[in-house]
Amino acid sequence: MGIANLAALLACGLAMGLGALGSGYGLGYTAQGALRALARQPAKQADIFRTMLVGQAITETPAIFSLVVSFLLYFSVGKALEAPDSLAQCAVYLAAGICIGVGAIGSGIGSGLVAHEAIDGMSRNPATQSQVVMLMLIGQAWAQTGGIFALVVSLFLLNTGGFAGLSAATDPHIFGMIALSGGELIGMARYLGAGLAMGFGAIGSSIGIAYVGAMACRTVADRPSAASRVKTAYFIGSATAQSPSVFSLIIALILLIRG
Amino acid sequence: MNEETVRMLVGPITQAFALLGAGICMGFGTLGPGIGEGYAAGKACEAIGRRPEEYSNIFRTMLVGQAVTESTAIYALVVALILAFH
Repeated sequence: MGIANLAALLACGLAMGLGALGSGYGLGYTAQGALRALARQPAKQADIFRTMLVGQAITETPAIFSLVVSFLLYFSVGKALEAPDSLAQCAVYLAAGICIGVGAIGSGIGSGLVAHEAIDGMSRNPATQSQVVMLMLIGQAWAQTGGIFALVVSLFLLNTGGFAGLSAATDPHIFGMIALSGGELIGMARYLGAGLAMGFGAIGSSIGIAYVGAMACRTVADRPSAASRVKTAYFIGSATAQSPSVFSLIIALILLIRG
Repeated sequence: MNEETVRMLVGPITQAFALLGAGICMGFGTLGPGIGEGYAAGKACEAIGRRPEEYSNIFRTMLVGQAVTESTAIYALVVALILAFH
């Protein structure tokens, strides 16, 4: 079995293991909000239960993205057998796994924060329920952007393939025990760099955007008269908090495309 | 490994580490600003809910605070671009 296959198996585990971390926390936090809400408003049980399920379904999506990439990595184990066994290909698999695994953490935690505050707020002021649930859906969708960026970069990595690095490998040299050419080394660094940039870059923005959404849900529930002003601050504040993850996406795409 | 081989390898190694550095720089450099800007905007929403009449003041302070927070992400972006085009 070649080294690229080992890397694919390791990346498969990393993608799903790290990817489940954020969503797991978010799902539990959503349920915690629902339990608090139920204790406060037992009569609203059906509404609270339905909102919890919707919120949890959206919180689950980053873990599903990780699952998809993890399956793709698992099924590419056989494919790598026919291809040249390069270290650049190892870097592609590892980068794709780390990118979606780490990138899903922020979105999972963030979606849970929004759903928790929305369900909690809904139970404090049931009159605002429809408004708060709408804000929750917007906030959760917005918190997904980091995970979606990470998914895009992961799929891009898996489709590019590291074999491109081999074409430049005209002059193999020996580094200790490993035969590695300069072109292949640059390819490895480029793929790993893109994966790390987008993976870790997605965490901060997703949590930040979700925190704005959570606070907007709480405020609209407590003070519906200020809803339009809160929404303006929410949309503009979230858009600004999005910019760091867009910078990461730009750098990841530059690293992938250039060369 | 003779001296000529070492000289041939220095270029690719430098470029490879610059590219990896660009990725690490951008990835970790956006962690803080993302959370920080979100925290500022979240607290602004809360403050507007508490005192809606102070809306314009709160909103302006939020934007200035976020702009200052953004600067660290822009430092990371500039350094990453310099490294990527090294």
